[in-house]
Amino acid sequence: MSLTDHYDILQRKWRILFISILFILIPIGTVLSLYVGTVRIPFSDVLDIMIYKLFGVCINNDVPAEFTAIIWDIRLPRILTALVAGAGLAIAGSALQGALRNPLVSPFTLGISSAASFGAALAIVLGIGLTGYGVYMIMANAFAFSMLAVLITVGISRLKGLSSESLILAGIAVMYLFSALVTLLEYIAQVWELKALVYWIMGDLSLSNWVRLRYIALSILVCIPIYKYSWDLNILTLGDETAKSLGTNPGTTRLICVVLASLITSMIVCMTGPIGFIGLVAPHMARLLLGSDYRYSMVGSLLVGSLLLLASDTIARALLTPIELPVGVVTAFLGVPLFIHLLLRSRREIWR
Amino acid sequence: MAVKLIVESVTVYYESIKALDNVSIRFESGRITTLLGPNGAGKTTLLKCLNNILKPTKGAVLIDGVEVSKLKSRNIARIFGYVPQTTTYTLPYTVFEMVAMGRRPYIRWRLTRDDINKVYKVLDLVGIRDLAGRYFNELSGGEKQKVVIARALVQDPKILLLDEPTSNLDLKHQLEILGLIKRLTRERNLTVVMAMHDLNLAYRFSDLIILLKSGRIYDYGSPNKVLTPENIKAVYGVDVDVFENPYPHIVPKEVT
Repeated sequence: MSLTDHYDILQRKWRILFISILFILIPIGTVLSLYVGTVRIPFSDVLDIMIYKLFGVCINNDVPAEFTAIIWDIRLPRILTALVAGAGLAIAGSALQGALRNPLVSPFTLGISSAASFGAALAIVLGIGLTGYGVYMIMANAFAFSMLAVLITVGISRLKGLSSESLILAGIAVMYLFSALVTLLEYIAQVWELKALVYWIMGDLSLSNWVRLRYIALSILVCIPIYKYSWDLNILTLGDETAKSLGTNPGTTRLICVVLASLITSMIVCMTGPIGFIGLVAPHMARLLLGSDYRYSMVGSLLVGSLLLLASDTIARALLTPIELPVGVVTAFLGVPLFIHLLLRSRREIWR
Repeated sequence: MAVKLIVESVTVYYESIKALDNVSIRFESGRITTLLGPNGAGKTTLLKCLNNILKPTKGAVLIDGVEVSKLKSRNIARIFGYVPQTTTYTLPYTVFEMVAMGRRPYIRWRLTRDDINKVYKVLDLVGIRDLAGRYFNELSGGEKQKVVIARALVQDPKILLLDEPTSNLDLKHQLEILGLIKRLTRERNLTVVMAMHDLNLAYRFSDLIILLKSGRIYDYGSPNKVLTPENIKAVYGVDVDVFENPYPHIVPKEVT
């Protein structure tokens, strides 16, 4: 038997190895990130606190209570939020790139980011909201308007048979509409409202806590049904006719993936603000490492997205302590060079 | 083993334009049937109606007496292999992955050992096993076309539909691909329907020819019966000489 006989098995082993490495990096990254912050906490204390909280084994009784509070109630929920949000955005981007057959698509292509921003702006500037008050009004608004944007986009595209082109173009139109509305609200906003709004639009994880983490973690549940469409997403990238001839219904698959991906994105964005770049780049990085087959690359996207957002948020916290940078800026600063490096190093084209 | 493929008075409208007009045919297994006709005559439309990529406005396509449009898409994909006119691809897949997608109508999630063996068998048959690990987008036009044909074959189809399978290929690859299709047609008793533009290749490789003109069947039968100067003049509007010796070939005289 020659090497090519086992080509598929070889490739499978490599992919599982890469996925395992990415997977191991997540707990390592988490612990390192727990260590980083304005308050200096000895690394041994970080480990003691985590071991005590997770396993109930108390190694050192002298760890100050405020250290425990900082690690367990402030840093950890924020880190977990970064992991979940990164994972969700990357999965949504990965699924949409396949379903819309376009590698430049991100979770925000269908107008979600600008619609969510408009919802937030309504609450911040005019105090108009669907429910709740303060931060919760912003979240409810952002979620409601991003789902509204998707409904409009899908509704328009339905008239054109849900083709990928019509979805993308309708999405971009909706995005411009909501952007214009946001600009309008920015124009009439007071200075302090404007500052709050701009900060929200940049994306931010500093408001994370255990309660909000619980809501945002629900988005991971929505990722599971998307993953089940891996084969259909593979086949959709070959064009609608070929998809039909292989027994995959392009319209239905596209609709389901678009709706699920949008739901994931809205659930995340309404809590964190639109954190750009992860959803666009993480799927490409995963494909460069693991190949295009969605059964593997989707898992890779999830892990890469988590790690990328975790790293970005850690840098955002650490770089200019005690000042925090907006995480959306750091994702670009970190992601762009990494992405260009992979792009130049890779022999093959990312897409055609 | 072979299935009966019948087209019964199929009419297709695109918006208000009539692309096919009351077409009825019975296809034969173990034979290559070629659809000929000028651009817009309805070749591709007819081909797409056969495996329900396109639903006829009127009439029906029957497979062993059952309407194709009533079958589940997964079951249609187990009967029909389809090679489209142009192959679009978005992401870089390897040749193995590309061909393995042809097993989709049979699998839920995992490729079994049996599926993988089938993929390699077809790669051998088409003569591209050494390309298994290469990326599809790095291949030449001829190699790409072989991959797409391999993907259609790995579906274990009873009927193979090909839309201009040789349109972008050089002379050697044209002959290679058509020779391969001919061999498979005989060996597997496939029902093959293909749309073509090259009259000479169609003459050489087809068992039966359907000549289409503005959505209607103008003539039907063996190549030497259908490809006459009179028919070609009437359908394509071109004066030609048809020579039978030593090989059949068609030479245009002058466009009228």
